Amino acid sequence: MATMRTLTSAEAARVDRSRFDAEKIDRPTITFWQGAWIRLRKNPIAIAAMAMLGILLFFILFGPTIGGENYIDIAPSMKNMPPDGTHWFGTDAMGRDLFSRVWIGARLSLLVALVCAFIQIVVGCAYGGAMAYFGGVVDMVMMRILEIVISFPSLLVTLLVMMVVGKNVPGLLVAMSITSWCGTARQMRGQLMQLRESEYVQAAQMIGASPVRIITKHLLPNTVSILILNLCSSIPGYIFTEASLSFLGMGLSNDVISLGVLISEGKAKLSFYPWELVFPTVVLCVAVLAFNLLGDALRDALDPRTHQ
Amino acid sequence: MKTLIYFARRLLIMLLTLFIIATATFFLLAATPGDALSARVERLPDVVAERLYAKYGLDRPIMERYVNTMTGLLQGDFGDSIIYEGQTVQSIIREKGPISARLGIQQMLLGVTVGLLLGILAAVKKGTIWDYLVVALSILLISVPNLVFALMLQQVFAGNLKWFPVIGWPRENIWFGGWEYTVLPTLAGCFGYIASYARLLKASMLDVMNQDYILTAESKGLSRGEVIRHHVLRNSFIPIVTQLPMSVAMCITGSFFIESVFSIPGLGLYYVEAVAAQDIPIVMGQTVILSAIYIAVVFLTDILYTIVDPRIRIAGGKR
Repeated sequence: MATMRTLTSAEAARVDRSRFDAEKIDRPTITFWQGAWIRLRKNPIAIAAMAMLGILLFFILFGPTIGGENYIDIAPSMKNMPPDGTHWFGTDAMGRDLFSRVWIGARLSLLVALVCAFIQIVVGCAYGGAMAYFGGVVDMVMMRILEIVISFPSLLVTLLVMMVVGKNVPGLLVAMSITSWCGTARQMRGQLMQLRESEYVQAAQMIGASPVRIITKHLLPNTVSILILNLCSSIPGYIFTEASLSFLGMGLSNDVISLGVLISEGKAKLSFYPWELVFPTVVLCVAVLAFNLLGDALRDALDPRTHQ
Repeated sequence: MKTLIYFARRLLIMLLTLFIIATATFFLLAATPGDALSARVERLPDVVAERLYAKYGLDRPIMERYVNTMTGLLQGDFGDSIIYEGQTVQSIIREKGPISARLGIQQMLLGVTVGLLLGILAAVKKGTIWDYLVVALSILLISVPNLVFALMLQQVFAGNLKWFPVIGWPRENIWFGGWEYTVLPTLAGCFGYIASYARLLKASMLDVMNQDYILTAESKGLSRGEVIRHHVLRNSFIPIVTQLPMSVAMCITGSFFIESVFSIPGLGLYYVEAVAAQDIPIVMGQTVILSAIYIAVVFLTDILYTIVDPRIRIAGGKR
């Protein structure tokens, strides 16, 4: 009977298997947002749109300072001057520098549009989230209310509300926000309900994930892209509405400066002093174009179906 | 049975919506400082002013006026206009309705046709210069408000070239006469339709082209034209058919701005004037009627969905 040889510890050591690690993922993990950002960066249109927005933002913030001309006081000797070296966009009927006025106006128009879009998203999210969360009777009642509000003709409501609350900025915000949130709320509700039923959320519940984890890891990331798209695509509409209302004389009154106010001031003088209409209009169109292009590019970048 | 209940429920909601809109409109107008007569009675003796207020029932307490207005609404009597002597809502709509309707119909006919053709072109020639041109054109058209188009067209073709009248609208033969007045407003308003329908149809066609049954049709040996005509187009028209009624409903209010630029005496112009002057009967009447049309169209759209796409069930049990 042969004696059993005991193994030395060196012999018993594990073989280094790291060389054979077939399971290893060699590529860096790319999250959804990193992927979206990479796709967005590859899209020349998106870059162009972001550049346009960047330039606009620069002028909106610093334009009046760079221009450095008077845009508030009435200067009768300088009225309706064509664009030249000092007044780059010319002057208006009261001799005020249009270059500065256009950027000040764009500041207000964009701010109004952003705030309205933000209200739309926040209210829509809260309402839609509540519908999806509570379900049952609450959902039904809230849905009926939503169906009623969504069938208001929005322009009529906006005009009426503007009349009541007055032609000022808070009034405009209220008037434009009254019916705007409905679409977002319905979309949110649909998306959340669909997600709640989806296999991966059920699987997460199965393995004992907490509600907080499900909300932050599964529900939110899947709705944020919709919200970003919503935000981006509703801004042009608000810019338009503000300008159109002011144009009809139902929007902001002309003691504040917005693109709509400038356009409605310029329209009467189109035949004689065209620059007073052209410059605010061009700035408005460039801003809207940039948001539209960015919105399209974002849609492509965020939609998982387009990048197989 | 289920469908019947669904219709009844929808009808109820529609009526409730109209009631809420009417109520909200009334109290919004009542809450606005001043009233329709305050400018007119300023220089009149008190006795005359009181009589004027009594004539329009504006001297009554607000709840009584509300009840009066609402019972009037139920009977289809909106009351006389305060700012336009002798006009009622009915007479204004009978007179101005066709004007706005003709403008809207012309805009839609031109815009939707051109838009659909461009959409087909872009989808069929995907990835070519034509595709990019259509995409660029439609995003450009969407990014310029139609009142800017209106002002530009007016300035260039009416002001500088003098091809068309600057403002105005045909007085006689309102449906077919005086086309030279209608060219510029129609053009100005149709760009929005061109852009949105071109984009909508292109997206829808590309979606359909990725379906398996298109592959089947192609492998059966159908020519490209036949595949497009029989399989792609028919299936991609679903969103178009359901978008159309919404466009019809929106074109009534959408022309407010163009009517204002070209001084077209349509519903929009009168509505804005009436709102500005707080002419409660007119505003109430127009709001209710326009809302009713809008709501009815939304309802119609839902029914249309089920007709063009049998896969969608109207009363569908699952939500």
